[in-house]
Amino acid sequence: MNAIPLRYIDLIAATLLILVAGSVSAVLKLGLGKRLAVASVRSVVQLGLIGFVLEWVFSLERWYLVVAVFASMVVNAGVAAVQRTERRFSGIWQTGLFAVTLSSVVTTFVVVEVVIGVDPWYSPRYVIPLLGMVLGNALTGLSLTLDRVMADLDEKRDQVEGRLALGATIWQACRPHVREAVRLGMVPVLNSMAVVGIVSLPGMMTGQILGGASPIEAVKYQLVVMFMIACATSLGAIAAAMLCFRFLVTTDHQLDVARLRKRG
Amino acid sequence: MLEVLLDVRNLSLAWKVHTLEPPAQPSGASGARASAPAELPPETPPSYVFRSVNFSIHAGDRLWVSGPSGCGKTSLLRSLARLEPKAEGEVLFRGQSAHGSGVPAFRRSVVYAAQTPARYPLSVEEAFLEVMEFAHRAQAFRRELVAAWCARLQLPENVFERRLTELSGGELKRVQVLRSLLAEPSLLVLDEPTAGLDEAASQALYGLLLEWVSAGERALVIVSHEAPPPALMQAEKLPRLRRFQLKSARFEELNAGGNSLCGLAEQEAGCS
Repeated sequence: MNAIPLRYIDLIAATLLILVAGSVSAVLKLGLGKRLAVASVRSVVQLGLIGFVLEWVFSLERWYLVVAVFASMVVNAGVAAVQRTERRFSGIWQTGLFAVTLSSVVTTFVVVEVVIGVDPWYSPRYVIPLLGMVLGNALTGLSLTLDRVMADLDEKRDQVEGRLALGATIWQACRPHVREAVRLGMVPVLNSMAVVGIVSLPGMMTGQILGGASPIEAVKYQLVVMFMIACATSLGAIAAAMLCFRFLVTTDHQLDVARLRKRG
Repeated sequence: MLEVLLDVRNLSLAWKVHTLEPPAQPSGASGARASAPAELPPETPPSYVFRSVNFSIHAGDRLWVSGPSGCGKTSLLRSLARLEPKAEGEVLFRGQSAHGSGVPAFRRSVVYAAQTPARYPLSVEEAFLEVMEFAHRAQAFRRELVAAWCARLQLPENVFERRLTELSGGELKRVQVLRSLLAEPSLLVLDEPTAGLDEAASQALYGLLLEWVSAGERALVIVSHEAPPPALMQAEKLPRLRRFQLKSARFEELNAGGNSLCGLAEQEAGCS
């Protein structure tokens, strides 16, 4: 069994749904009309492009093309994670990029090679969708964490320095804030894991079922993906928080909030 | 000869570099300036919070630091505790300057208590224990001793169970001083320690501090807008109270060079 192919005319019908959202904004004067339009156009263009790119990559099955797509997705995710934060420091882009790369590469590799056992290792039909799922979700947690670490070290500087003044090491002084930020970054994943299957049917599972897979097979894949996301989010959040912490302190156990500036 | 506890050498701190627009230059600068004498060039603010500060603190010293609001007294104290990343110069404790992993131990010797203590979700007892943990002495925490200090500073009996976030401003200040003492410092650097305390509580606090400073090779640095309390000024067996002022980036000892007969009136006159 295969999904009913969508015609382009069907897509135009679907845009009516966006118009509903737009009219809600207009009626309630939410002022979101323009942003909604831009976001809609962006998603059409981005998804359209990736559709063509993936068709091409899938048909060629070359490892270097897969690696190139992989790298570009990771870089975009790193940039997006940083763009969502309120503050900046020099080193924040490296921080975001490193955290995203570490978390996504490690988990995707483990899942593709160890759990699923894909052959060849670069099989784009597995690697790219899995990476996309991980990135899209880990990104949220990572940027929440990064934003929170910066906000806490900035706004709760008196607490950090209060501990430092009493002889704490810089890590002892910052640890409660780093920990809290990582915890915050994990919340969305934990929340979604708590309601999955009861309230929400995840996109990937839905897609597989629509594509004709048996629900049991779809659930198996979904479980793998959920655990991947949890792993990637925790790795990414910890890496981002620790790097941010390292960038904002001096070797003399000082917190240097002057290195932080609000996004202009 | 009394031992030198702290040696401050060439300590400077520049103001943050402001990224303000440079003042607009009038076209044909020289001519315009001559024709408009009413427009004085804006006074350039000093580029340093304090500059080339040098002084030594000996055992038994009580330093009383005053100066106009916003002149940088707090920045100076923070620099003594090595909390100011941009400070230049040296702060030597018993002849040693601290770097890297030596800084936390240095800060346990030179404890700085901020004007507004941080409130975070710990009970007062946990906050006391935290200090002991920083010093790797958690086992040595003596609750009765600290309870006695609390009673002496007129803190309520249930203070150990209260959270830092629930304390009044004055209670928090006193708890902070006690936490500072738990670090077993040689030098206590206090920013407005009696702000928010009533007269009786202030007297009790100064009494405890005087007793503390007399009981070993210790010294006190206090920033305050008030006049120093007589108890701290005329302490038996201790050197005379030293008064300093920070003003326009200069840190000066007000009664430097005076002899020990220098009286209260003379000291008061030296303070603007």
